[in-house]
Amino acid sequence: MIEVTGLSKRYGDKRAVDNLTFTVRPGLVTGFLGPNGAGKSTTLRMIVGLDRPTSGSARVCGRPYHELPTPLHTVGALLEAKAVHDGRTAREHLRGLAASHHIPRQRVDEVLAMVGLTAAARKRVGGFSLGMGQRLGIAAALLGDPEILILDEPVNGLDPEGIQWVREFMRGMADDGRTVLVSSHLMSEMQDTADHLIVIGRGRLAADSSMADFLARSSHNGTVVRTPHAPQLVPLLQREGGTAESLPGDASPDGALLVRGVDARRIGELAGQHGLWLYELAPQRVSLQEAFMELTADAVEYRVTHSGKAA
Amino acid sequence: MTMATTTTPAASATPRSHGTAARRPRFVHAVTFEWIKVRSIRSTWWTLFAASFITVGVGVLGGGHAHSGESAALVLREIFVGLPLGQVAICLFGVLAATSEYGTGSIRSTFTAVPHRPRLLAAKALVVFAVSLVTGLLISFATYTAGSLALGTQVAHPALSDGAVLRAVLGGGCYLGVLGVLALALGLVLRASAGGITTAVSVTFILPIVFRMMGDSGQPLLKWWPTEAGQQILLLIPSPENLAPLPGFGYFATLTLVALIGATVLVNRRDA
Repeated sequence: MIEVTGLSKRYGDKRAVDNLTFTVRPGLVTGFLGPNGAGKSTTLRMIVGLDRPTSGSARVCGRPYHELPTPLHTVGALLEAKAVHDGRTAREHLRGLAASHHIPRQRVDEVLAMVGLTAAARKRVGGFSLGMGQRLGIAAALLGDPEILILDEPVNGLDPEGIQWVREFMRGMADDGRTVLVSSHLMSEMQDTADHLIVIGRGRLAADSSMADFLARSSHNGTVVRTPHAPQLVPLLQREGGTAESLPGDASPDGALLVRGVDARRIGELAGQHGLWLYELAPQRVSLQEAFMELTADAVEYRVTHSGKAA
Repeated sequence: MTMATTTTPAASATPRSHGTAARRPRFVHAVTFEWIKVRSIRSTWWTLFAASFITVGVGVLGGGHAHSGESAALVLREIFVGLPLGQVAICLFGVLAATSEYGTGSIRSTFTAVPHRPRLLAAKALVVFAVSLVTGLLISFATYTAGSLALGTQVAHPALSDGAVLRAVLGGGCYLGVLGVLALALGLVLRASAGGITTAVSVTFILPIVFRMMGDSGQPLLKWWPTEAGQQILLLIPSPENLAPLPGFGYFATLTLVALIGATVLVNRRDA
């Protein structure tokens, strides 16, 4: 359990984090989303006591991080790849951290094996690729077999196999009843992984909801209906509390509609009851990326000028 | 290099330990942590080697140049003539013990493992002190021995059986031990290796030379300059215009402790 209450961080005039309040619960993978520069990393650093909040507080298992009796057994954090001295070997880095909590040496070899770094254990970290650095960071986070995992952009630099591994790993940790907080600026990454989402933009909370609710709330949601009987169908839908508009960008003569507020099943029933033909009845699955873009459209700090289509 | 996809986290052999169930780490664990970090980077070993090589090597040359008719006090000074240079390498060690962590970002893993920063810095200072002290004593006695062997037959031999000589040689080692901690404090305050090293070299080596060139007006500065006061412990016959050996060293050690406490307060207040 991570509780963030009224958390703010100001650098001069700039509010990097602005009055954030949210709770991260155990048993779920919670995605922490926001565009670059939204304040994700700053928030995570405050949670683990590296940065001091300007105001507000962050508590882990009911206490500020620095009051935890055994921090590495409580929280495993991957905050940036390669927070390691270049000249040190992977094993020495982990042995040092293990020594700080009298974690047995065999655990070091265990976590190295878990992330697939056994063969590179004696190599100096300076020669590691970004992906290997990430693996080492994950190994360090696992060292204390913690109840809470905080991962800042964990799949950065990983190959597809590594990404798959991280996903399964986070799922496994959450299913085991642990708290998993994972940040990303890649929405596609979260769609398959997260159960719950916390979205921030410009340091402020933009959304705190389950993945399903988050997607359902998007205006991109709806059902595409293609029918020659639109004039008869639309009033029926409206009586059910739905809305219908012509599908944007659609040039077909049939006049496709985008229907919201009534699900596909009900639309089919209504059409059937009234003998209306349907040529197409297609629920639109909104992508997290679209929902996110919509939400943070005005909260993106570093906007690119070309308007690339969202993936 | 592939991740072991078959290994699921739940399959780890160590039973799940909850924060409350695990034993609370003590100071000794922070010390072990720091010791592992210090010994596992190469800069530690080459800085300590450089300190030894320079001080002992120049000591042999100094001993070789000693003349007959010089007092034992002067001969000992000639043997330890390399110390002001060799101490720079000890400073490098102390500065790097702090700045290499900031430079590489590993300070963040360190602080997440031991969030109680004063405890961590005390452990770090203890390790740096112990390593500098042991190295310092080895350097000091090696310099004395090598320098003495290089002395001509007609030259007065400072003997360890003389209490003052023993105090000077032991004191030289202790001086280097404390100097390592002073450099650590500088590194903690400045965080950047380049700035830390430049400052440490200025404090221990360059500024005292400047003060000497200033003649009489530089003398009060030299008298109260921390490293110069600390080095008085190397003199067999105290110089009248400077602090006496033991008070001088005590003054130096006290200022070092103050610097370390100041650095700790600062680090504790700053974002990592």
